[in-house]
Amino acid sequence: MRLSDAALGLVLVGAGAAIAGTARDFPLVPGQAFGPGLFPFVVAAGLAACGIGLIVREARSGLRRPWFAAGPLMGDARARLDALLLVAAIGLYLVAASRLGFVPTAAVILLVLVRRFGASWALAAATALLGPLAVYLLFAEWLRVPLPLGLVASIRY
Amino acid sequence: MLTRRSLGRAAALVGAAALTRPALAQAYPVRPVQFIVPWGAGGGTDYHARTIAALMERELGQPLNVVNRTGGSGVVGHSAIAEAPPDGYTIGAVTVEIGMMHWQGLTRLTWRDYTPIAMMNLVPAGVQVAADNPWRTLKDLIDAIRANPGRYKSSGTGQGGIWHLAIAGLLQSVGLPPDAAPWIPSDGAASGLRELVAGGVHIVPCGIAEAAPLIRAGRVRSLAVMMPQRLPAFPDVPTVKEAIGSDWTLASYLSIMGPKGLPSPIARRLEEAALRAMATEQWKAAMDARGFGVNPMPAAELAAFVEKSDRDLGAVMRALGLART
Amino acid sequence: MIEALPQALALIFTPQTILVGIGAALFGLFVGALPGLSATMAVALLVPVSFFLDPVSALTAVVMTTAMAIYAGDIPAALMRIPGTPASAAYVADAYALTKQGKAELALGICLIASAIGGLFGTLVLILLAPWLAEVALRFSGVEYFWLVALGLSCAVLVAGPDPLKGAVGLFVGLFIATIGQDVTSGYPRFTAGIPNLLSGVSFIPAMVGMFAIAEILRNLPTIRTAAEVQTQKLGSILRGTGAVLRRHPVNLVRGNVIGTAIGILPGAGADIAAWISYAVGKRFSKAPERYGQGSEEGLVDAGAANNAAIAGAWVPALVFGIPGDSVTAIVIGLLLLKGIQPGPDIFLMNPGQIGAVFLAFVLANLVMIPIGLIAIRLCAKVLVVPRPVLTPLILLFCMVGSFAIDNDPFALVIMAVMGVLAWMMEENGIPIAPTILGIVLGDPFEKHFMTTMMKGDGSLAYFVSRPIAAVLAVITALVWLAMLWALVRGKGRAAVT
Repeated sequence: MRLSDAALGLVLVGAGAAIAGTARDFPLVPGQAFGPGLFPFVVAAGLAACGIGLIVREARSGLRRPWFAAGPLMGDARARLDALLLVAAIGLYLVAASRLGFVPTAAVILLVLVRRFGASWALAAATALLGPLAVYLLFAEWLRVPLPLGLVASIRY
Repeated sequence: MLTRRSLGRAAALVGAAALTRPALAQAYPVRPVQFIVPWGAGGGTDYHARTIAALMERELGQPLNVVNRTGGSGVVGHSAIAEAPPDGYTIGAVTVEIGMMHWQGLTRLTWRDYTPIAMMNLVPAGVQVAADNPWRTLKDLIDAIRANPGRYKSSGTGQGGIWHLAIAGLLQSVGLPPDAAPWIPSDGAASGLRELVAGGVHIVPCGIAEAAPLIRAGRVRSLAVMMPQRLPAFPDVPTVKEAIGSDWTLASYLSIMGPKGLPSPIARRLEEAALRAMATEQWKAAMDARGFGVNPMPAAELAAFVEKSDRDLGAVMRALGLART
Repeated sequence: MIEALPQALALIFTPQTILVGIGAALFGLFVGALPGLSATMAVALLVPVSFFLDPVSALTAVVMTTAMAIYAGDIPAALMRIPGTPASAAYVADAYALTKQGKAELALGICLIASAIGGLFGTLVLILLAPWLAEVALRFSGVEYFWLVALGLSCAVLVAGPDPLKGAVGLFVGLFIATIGQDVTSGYPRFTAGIPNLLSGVSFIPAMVGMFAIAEILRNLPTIRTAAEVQTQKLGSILRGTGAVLRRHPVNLVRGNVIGTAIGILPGAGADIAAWISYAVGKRFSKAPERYGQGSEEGLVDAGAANNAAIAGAWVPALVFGIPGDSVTAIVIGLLLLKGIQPGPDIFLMNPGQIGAVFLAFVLANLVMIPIGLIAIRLCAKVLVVPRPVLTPLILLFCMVGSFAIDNDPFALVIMAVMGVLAWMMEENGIPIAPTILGIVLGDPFEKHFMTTMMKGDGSLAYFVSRPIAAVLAVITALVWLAMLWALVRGKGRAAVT
């Protein structure tokens, strides 16, 4: 996803306005002339100034670039789906890990992604089987990181 | 996906049903217990938690895994304890902030969302000043503040933190405005003390134990302790009552609590284990080493203490204009 | 100090201490090499074990673990672009770029040797000057910190990349992210959208894992099925190859050491600012500044040396005044007290043997680090042989577990994903992320010290230069800013002529 400098400038000006708008409602500490809103205002002004700078720069060179180009990731249908799957994997973990447990969730993620990225089913299955177990042993059993047990809890105890 | 999820739910239900069976409650605990600490590794709460966890393991016969769930100014960790299933396999350290955060409107959680188990410790506030200041007694300091309200700055935790309330309440109790020694926020007692020694602020009303190394090094003087009696570890430091006649006292506290609705056999088992752990020599030695006292308290007493603390803190926060609820 | 040497030697060269030390070194290496697990966590896990050890063994274990864990954090940074600390974020881009050029062993070798030398230098300073340095460190109040952070922020200009305007955008994005969370003056929650997990701000490590590792995975997706594996050049001898690089850049090494030690001594500022300043200064005076960020061996020397030199520095205020310089030393103070050693200016008089032994442990840790580290490099570099369709999902899994482990908070995954997508979009549009990281790391202390200084001075700006050290730092900052402005104007002028 590639924006021209002018488009990027517009986004930045918009972001600056949004930040400043939100920061306007921050309450002042009684008895002080400055408070929680001061730095957000400075940042918003900075972003907006950069945005205007970008717009002016591109306007001077004649606004020849397209406003929007897809770029290598968004322009390639297969890569787009890859990226979507990747983000979905993180989402799946968030939703499912506490109930299913770390090991099954991670296994599903690895199986799907490894296969999707072009490895053979056998390799994908092996990764999905061994990877999560190894990670669980290292982090949870040995180093006491509380990775969710989920289903395994009812089997183990 | 659907089948897998309903499978998970079924398994969870079976598990829950199994746990409520009285036979199993007597066998509690059958697997490791998670002990959530809402603050970072290396801090005072973490120190207490790790020490008591090691001792309670012996009583319970199962490991207690200390888990630091930091972030969110303590809200995240406290929520994690309250929202855990009340099966006795998740308990945690609930600290004085539980009586403060809800007044600030940061969370709806109050101590009523927990099952009290035992008090781990009280951390009494002291009034510390840099040793190169002329103030020898608390009276000197109060007189100086009275003569120049707003001139002397205090620090030691974030805005509206427990030590902020300590000094504000003290000033209020002697008829001064609570912001007569304006609060400079800091990350914690350690950085407040650093500012004190560097000359950036004048008063740090933090837990006296945290100032102990600097008091020993002759850099910091403690003028008074906000407790009804002098502390055994600091016999030379007078109480506020002795110094200026005010009745103001304040101690931060660290307690063990579980989620609300913990079955009472489990709660009692944990309470006994905690109290027995705090009666050991190792506990006393570990507390002595850091200048902490030993103040165990059973669940019933803890509940009463926490309720009073919650009310007192709310009153001071309202006076300071920090309360939003 | 020297008189205590025989006693210290006798204390540390006991079978128990040596065994504990080696065990702790391996443990630290292992924990540090796992993304997301920090030196702090490794040390916290040691605490229950230390109950059963004598004081010298316990402290040796802490020292060994810390030194190894901090170094080992460079391994996932170089191989998978997953930085373990804000300090290592200063050079993760260079280390990873070298890996992609097939020079993974060299990159890790430079980090290793620069770390060891930095650590030894820091220790030496600690031994010779600890009481005096602690005294200086204690003169630093919030005002002085403010100017120091301002100086650190000016490094953003140096790491901004070819387009200063887009560099500025990167910096402001970082500063905005730093404003998320409870405000310092009033505790008001800013830009948190009601999510309690954001109250104390955007957690560093998940944010950095997202911005470096996740963004990198996204960028490489279009070529994941086609690109050839990275051909790793096996260095005949890692030591010899690394030695040649270090000999070419002796000034960087020494400068990194000095900057690291000097800034590391200040409690709280520590290794993070040190690594960034050292890196930026190195770039400013380099003959090949364009290589920085693209796999500069020189930049690795700069930041790596400063990073580890700062570790020993953090012990100075901890030992002398019981003031922790970072979270590791906070645990150390607890351990000292537990073992009956009181931190204080007289710590060297009261416990000369034990403290001497701790210093020796520092020296040994930095020496032991080299052989153990070399073996670890050889083993870990094998990761790159794994085919990318398998490695990429595994890296994703490590990122998720590592982000979670830092606060044990599943919300960290959301931060990681959002920051990953943000960083990818920024890089697509030519906005550099190095200034953003700097903004995230320094934005918070910058605002905090500015606000508290204003409050201390009752709103008067004069308070910012009212103390001698603060005034000196203010002048230095002003000069640096003027010099940079001058360079910018002159650069523009020259560009217009040619």
